[in-house]
Amino acid sequence: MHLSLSTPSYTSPSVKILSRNMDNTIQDDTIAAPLTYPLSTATTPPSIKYSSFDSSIPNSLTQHSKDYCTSHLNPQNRTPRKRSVTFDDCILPFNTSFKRARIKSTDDTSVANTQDSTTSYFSGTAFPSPSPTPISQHPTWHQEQERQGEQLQHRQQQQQHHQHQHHQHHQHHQKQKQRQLQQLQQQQQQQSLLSPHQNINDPTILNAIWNMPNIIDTYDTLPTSTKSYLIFQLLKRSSASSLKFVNSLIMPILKRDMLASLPHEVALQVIRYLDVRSLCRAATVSKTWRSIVDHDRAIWRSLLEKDGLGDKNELGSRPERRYRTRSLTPSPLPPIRTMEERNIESINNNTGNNMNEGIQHMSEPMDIDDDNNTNCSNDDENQNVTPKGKERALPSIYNPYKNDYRRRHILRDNWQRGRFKRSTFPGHNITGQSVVTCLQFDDDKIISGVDDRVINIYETKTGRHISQLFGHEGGVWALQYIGNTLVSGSTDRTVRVWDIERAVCTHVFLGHTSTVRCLQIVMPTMVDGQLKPAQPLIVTGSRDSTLRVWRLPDPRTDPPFNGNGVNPWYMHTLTGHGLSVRAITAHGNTLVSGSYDNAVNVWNLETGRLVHRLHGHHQKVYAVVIDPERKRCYSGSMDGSIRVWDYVSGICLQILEGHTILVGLLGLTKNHLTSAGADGILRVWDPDTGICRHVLSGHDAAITCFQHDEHKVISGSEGGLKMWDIKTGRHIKDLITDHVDGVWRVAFDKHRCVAAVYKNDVTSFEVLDFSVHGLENLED
Amino acid sequence: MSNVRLLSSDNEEFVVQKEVAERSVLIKNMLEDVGETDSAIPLPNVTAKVLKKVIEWCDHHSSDPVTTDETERRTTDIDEWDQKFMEVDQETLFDIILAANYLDIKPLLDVGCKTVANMIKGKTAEEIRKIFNIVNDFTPEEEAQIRKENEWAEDR
Repeated sequence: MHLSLSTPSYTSPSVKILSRNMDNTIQDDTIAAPLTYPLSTATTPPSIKYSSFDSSIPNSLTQHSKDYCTSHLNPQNRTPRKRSVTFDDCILPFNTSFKRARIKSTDDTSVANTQDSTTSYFSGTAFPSPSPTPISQHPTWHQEQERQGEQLQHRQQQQQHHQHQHHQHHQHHQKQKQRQLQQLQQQQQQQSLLSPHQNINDPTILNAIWNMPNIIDTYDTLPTSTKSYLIFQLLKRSSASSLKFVNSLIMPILKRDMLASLPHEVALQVIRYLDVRSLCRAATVSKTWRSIVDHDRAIWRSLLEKDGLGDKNELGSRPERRYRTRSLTPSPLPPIRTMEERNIESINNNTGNNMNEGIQHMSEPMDIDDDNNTNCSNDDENQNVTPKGKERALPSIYNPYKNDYRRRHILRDNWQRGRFKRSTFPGHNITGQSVVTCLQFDDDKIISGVDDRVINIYETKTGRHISQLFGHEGGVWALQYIGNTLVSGSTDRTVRVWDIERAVCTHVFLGHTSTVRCLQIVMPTMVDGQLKPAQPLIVTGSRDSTLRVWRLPDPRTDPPFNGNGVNPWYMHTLTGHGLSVRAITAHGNTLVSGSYDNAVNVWNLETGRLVHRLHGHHQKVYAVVIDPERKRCYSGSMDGSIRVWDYVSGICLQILEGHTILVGLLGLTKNHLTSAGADGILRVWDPDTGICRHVLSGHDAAITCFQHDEHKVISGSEGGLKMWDIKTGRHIKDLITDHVDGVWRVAFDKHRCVAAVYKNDVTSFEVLDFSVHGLENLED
Repeated sequence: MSNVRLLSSDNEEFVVQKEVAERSVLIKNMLEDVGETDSAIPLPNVTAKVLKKVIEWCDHHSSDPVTTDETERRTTDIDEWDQKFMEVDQETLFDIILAANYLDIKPLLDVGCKTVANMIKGKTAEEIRKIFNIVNDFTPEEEAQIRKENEWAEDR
């Protein structure tokens, strides 16, 4: 934005007011070279001087002047609409010289009268348009011009009067001037046919316009306070449209690039109040904004927590590594470790008072640079070797927290919208009549137990059959693994411990006199400041109506045990149920079991003592789940009810009713209790109040399996696998529909859902990978 | 109740109740260090115009309990009076934030930051540029890249 004025030409006694295109193309005439001045400094060029009238001005020049005046001050010369296309008002005549005939006497007398028209001139025509709205497009421009026209007529009369008074003294000048005026008047008369209100050839107006540089000069020499006063007076006399125009000039100047101009720590405090979407948009505003948003780790870290994506155990876990190793970064792991450490560090820092926050932020970029320089260069190398060979316009800003946030956000999005990559592989040697009784998986392997006595291990990514565990002489009905240790229970009444990697059975526990129907590995947990149980245990429940407690061996380091002789791993036999033990759940030293004898028993794992015998259900208990946070347990029964028990006092707190028949499956997370019935319906309960939040109906037959977390429920039944939004109860998607006859088992983790399904007597595994879509080019 | 005299950068003097002035941790600390004093406290970073605004805020909030509650500070809700108070041009808002930062008036700084954050919230990059008169200094290629980098956060 520039205000451009020509320098006075000393060779030619003229003052020229020029404007120029916004694109800085100066179209100058031959008389004087124009100078440009930035508007912000708003100064009149000091070099402007005004020469007095020179009689030697050739007529052609005055003609130019006349042409200019008529064409630029007379609205009739304008195309009223779409002027910006047909006629650019911003541009004053470049090839015409605007001559100012200066007549001393008239100057003195007319000054008082010219103020209004001068401001009009300013606001209406000659002021170059520095604002986003060029003057020509200013909506009120046209009105302004008309108003001027009325004033012009009035002034003309006054001016003629003055001219008469001073005629004697300025005859020579006056001659010139009048010649000019006559020409203008002629023109005006012609034009007045078209525009009766317009009277452009008023010499007062012309004088006023020619005086304008004087006014600017005067303004520049005023002291600041008086400047304000003058502007105030001018504004006071201005029309609303002029004020609008002034406003449009001033507003952008009063605006502030807040983030860029505030102190860094304050800018960070501002963006801390933004949600992730606004934050990402802010990063695209400008380079400075991007740098502020993308460099700050604390913001992204706290956002991870705030938006429920900040599971600390997840940071640097294997899945994350999976993505990192995909890139060609030579050392992908160290940043993860440092991130974790910093996480702990920063949590400690957060406990400090607020005063330190600024300092904390300030110091952070320093250690970013430390491990970042290497990372950035790695990134660059990656770019060079990527097959795409696409050059990156901007250097990337490495922010592990933003990366994590992005990855998890996309992952969550994929789950919420049911976007996954599906792969299918057949079950290994599973006959038509076999049932997949249990299923557990991680990123590397899927382990499933089948009722035909074999345990199969598959590679998760490829479905490749890795190994088969032989040993059980009957169907496998329960299994669980932790690390490399697998424990299984079978109809052959044995419990076996396996080394998964070597695919061998290392320990055989005998003792149960009937089918081992359920088992759980109980790992030591912090309860009331103590690790309970003191060592890892196995609990098994059997059709023989007893439970047995064993110490968990390590198949790699502990001596094998084939079942002969005294079993060093055996701890207790829990007797108290009258019929088959169908379900168990344990936390710390508390073990809860559900039995076909309709009872729910609470045991002390370490002493093996029966603590409570909970009566209430009228029929067999099929499912139990423990809630250590609320010191409760929930039981589902064939009587169609769910009972809520206080396992400390042994009191039944509540009966949750709604299911019509067997409640065969129960699941619990922090905020949700989910139950599934043989009626084909799932119910989501509020564990605090016992209120049924959602009824998920859609399956046509009994629910055979389900799993849920804080976001979703995935359930299997005849006909397929469905995913539900646990918060709204909305059915999100049918994950598997294509004519499967049933789903044996389903399980999911952060990235995948794995289901064992059967169709036409063929059992196969479906792996639905939700960590693909949108995450393919994660290192980009 | 004793009064405190504050001197703005442009040498305007304000007489303020001690309790009001002590909303500023900076002034509070100064008073504690200096003890009873008759001389005006010079605030060379704050003009009279801004200081007047700040005092107005402190006066209104003089009886607020001092809160350090993090969750309180997380939300972008601003109480009605503060909202009205912050209805000023950007230049003034900017000056108030700077003054609050300098004078160490955390709640006022928070309100200022929240006000700016609310101006950004929910806006597109172009809208943000317009609001703050920011020049887009990305080349078209850079802008495409940066948009791609951040598009995941949009609802897709």
